[in-house]
Amino acid sequence: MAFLFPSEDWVARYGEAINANPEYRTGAADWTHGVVALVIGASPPRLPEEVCIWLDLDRGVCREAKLVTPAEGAKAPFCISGDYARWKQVIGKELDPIKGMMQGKLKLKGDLPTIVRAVKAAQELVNSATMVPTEFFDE
Amino acid sequence: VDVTALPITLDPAVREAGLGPMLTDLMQQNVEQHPERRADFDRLRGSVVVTATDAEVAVTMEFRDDGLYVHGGVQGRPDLQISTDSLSLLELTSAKLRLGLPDPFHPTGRKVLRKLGSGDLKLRGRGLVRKPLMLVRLTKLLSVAAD
Repeated sequence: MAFLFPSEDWVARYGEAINANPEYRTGAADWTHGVVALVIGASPPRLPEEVCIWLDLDRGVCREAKLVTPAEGAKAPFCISGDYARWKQVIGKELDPIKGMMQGKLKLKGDLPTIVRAVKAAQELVNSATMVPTEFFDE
Repeated sequence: VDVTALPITLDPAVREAGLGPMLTDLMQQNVEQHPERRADFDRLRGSVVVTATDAEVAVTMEFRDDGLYVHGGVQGRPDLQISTDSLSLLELTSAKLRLGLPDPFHPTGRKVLRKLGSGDLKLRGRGLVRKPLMLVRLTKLLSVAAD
């Protein structure tokens, strides 16, 4: 069964996928810097507004994964944002998240030295999304 | 005067690509957290090209008397060229340093040195010989390794 991206069900499965990813668990064992928000840009008409996925992360574990409003998401200390098409590429393994950041296709906000120290964890965090059976509204 | 505010100018096109802002944000935030590194920024002179090979993105960083200017692509004849894939580029900034260069006695430093040896990370340019401190200052400015 596939889950529609970015729905509440999809986000719940994404949280499970993060916790099931041993590479993430190992790479993020020292992560105590709080929430990472993933922002998916609006893609009208099916996604009329920006959507934000709130990931409460601590020491290699995702304690909570939920959809929040963009205003709530903006409070996260770290934020990775991109438009819907880019996230679709990431989930489809067509775009490596680190490469996407270098190309400006994904934007990173927050204390850069902290996230660069945890770059493998950041990569695995985003790569965990590729493990969720996903259905896209434009396919 | 805020000594941690670095005089950095990015070409408009560079602002949209990720590599240039990422490198300059890293320098800026590093200096905010380690104000003593401002001296390394002030003493850096010359041009450095950084290329993320897999992302096919390159920037030229020109360190002048009045600050750092960042241009897209390879401009002029750089003193120093650093090229590797995106992940290795970030790993380079995470490497533990000894005397301003990757520490061979630390796993993160050894990883970088191995990539240099295998050619996965390329360092070249006349600056390596003529301006040896340039690389040391640059790595200190970009380093996020814990002290």
